[in-house]
Amino acid sequence: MDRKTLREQIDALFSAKKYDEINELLTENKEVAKSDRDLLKVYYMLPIYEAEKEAGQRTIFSKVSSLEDLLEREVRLKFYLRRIAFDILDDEDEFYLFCRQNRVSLAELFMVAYCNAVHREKVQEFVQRKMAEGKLVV
Amino acid sequence: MNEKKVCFIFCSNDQLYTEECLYYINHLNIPEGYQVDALAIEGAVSMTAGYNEGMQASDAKYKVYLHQDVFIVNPDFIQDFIDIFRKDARIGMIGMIGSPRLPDSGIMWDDERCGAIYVPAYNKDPLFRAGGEDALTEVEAVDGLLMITQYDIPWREDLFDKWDFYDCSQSQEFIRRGYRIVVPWMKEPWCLHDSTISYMTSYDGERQKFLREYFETGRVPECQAGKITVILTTYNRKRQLKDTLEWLSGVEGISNIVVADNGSADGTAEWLSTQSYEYLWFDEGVQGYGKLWNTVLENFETEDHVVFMEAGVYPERESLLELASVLCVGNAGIANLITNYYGNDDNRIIDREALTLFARENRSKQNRKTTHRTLSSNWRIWAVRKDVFDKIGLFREELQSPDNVLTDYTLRMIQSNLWQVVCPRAYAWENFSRGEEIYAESGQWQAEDRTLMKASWGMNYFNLHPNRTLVKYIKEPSEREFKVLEVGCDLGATLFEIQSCYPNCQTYGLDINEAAVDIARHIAKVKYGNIDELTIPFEEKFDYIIFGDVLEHLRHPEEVVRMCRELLCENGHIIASIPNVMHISVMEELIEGRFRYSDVGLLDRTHIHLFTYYEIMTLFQDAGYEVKDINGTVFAISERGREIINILLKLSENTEAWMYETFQYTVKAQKR
Repeated sequence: MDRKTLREQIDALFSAKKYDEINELLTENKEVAKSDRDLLKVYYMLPIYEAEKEAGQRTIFSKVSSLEDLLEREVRLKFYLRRIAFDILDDEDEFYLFCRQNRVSLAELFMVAYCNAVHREKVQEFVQRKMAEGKLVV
Repeated sequence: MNEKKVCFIFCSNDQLYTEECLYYINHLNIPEGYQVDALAIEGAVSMTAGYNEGMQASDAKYKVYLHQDVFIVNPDFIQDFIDIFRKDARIGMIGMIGSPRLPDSGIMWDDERCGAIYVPAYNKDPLFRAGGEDALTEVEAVDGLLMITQYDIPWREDLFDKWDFYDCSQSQEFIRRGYRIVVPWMKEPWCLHDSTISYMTSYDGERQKFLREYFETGRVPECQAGKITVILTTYNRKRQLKDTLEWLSGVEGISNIVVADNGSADGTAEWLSTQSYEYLWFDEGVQGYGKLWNTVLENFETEDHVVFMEAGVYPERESLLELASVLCVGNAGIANLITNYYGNDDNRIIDREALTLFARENRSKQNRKTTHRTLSSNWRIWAVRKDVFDKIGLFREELQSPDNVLTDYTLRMIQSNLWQVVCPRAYAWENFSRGEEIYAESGQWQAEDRTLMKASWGMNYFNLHPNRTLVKYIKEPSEREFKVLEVGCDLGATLFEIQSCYPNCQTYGLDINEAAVDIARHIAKVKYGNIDELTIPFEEKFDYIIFGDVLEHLRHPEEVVRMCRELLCENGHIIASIPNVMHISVMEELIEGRFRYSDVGLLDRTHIHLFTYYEIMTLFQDAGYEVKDINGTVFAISERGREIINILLKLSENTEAWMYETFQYTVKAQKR
């Protein structure tokens, strides 16, 4: 399967809300997925999906309406986490609001931090501290 | 150009990334007195087009070209890069990741890289670090993720119309212009590159363009120790030859030595035949150097760097390696060492001990690969990159005197935009007395060469030596941008020197010798013109106008100097050197009733106007200038000359001894 076809099929599965099949299709076509700038990101979100599903939570795929939405969500979240990593998060409340409105799970936070942030431990420690303070609700 | 402004320029096609890139820029500390601007270029058709648009739109001295997915995480980024530029005006560009030696493929990651960057990429370590811990590593190319410049050089939009190889190309453009490119050592990376997959659909096509433009037309070879051939010429100096060969056995980097015995009759050939050196003996007698050097090159294998030297010259142990090293930088084709007779401007090297001390002291101050550009080389010892022969050809065989062979080669190099350099870390002792001639044929060679050179180049004299005295009157910060016009620039040697001292200076020249203009236009913006006609073909205003031994040749020096007021910026200066007709040598002749013109010197037959100290002062003051500085060149004066001066001083109420002692005046006059 080529990148274009895989992408079209993933888009169709999103529209049909067949999230388990997204998981299967990407796992089966791992190498093709890893060669596509966008699908690579989705591939690395599969563990989030699986963790949320196992925990009986609403899954990341069900929180968005399209592949495009999913990618934008990932970009915005990693940007917040990077700002934390480099101590330049000007507006913490904006970050908490983003997490709340988008129903970001702990699994998603940690996975995005792991994949995209420098100073991962620092970011994870921040997340845990703010959760303990009750400011960050996930 | 705003000297205290930084502009961040990037091509933008993603709103989220653009905003994030700006977010990090907005969090940088701004050095006091500086302004910061950012230009997101939308809809660019290529990286070069986008960057050219940004470059032209900004008046900032410092420009940071970066990808939209590069986030600057070092809060002191601006101060840190300004500090680097300020330390060395010859640094044109700074990068975060670079190639000390760009591989022949043109692909940076095919070979060793240096620098540091955060590249968060899923399951990999987000820190990429390579290279040593030198404060600055000189590189041949930097990665386009972020490139900082302090000079505006157009991006090659004409060649690279996509999104690849604009970075390697721009690096080469800076090197072509003699600038250094460096990557700093970063304790923590200064930037984060949020890159994932590049599709690189046009990469190979752009790479082929790059290779054609920069590598197929004469790539700088890689520096390698032990890749030096020495061509050692000797003539009737058997003992010096033996000494030199023994000395060279302790000099590093030499791969092979070829001895060229130019027809010695002192048993040199017989001795050489018992040794293991490669050698060539011209048994038909002394040959001119064009033929001599060519014969060696045609008959012996040579390495990447060839050192031509005479028996009796003793290079310091690491000096030839230093030469090979500088020949790997930019467009340097020939490299010279400092000797007791070359580059020893302040005459500090009086003996071999002084040379050793001077070398040790200077090496500790100079970076490797630091050079000073020059137009004149020292024929007794010089090094050339072998591939220069591929580009320019061999020496002109009919020329005989080695200095003329080298002058002819220099002019051909200039026409090919290849330069000569002096390496301040390379030293040699020349065991000759000053002016010593090795060959009885020297005089005849000079006469015959002169005819050939005139026929080839259309000139009688070839002045490749800058007038450093005049250059020293320019007092500017090394990085300042300003404009200099030299009237009577000849081959452009002085303008070349000014460029070396002031890399941001724009140099202009005017000369009435069309043949000289043809050469000098490779060095500066030089045009043909006769300033005596009271017009010049430039519309610019200049900070300095230089007349090096020119005013005395003009029919209308007063009018010319007055006209220059219109060509000078406010507070601009004229710098001029003018011979002193009152010099004691002229007075001595006059006392004997003689006033003989000659081809050169104070009474050059082409001098139309003659000047004394008072006449020079009057010339400038009447034309609307204030003389800020005037100094004289003085040579040793004979006892009789001294007696005459004392007598003249008794007869005169308005003169002083220095007015007779000064051979030539140098004056700096400021427009009032």
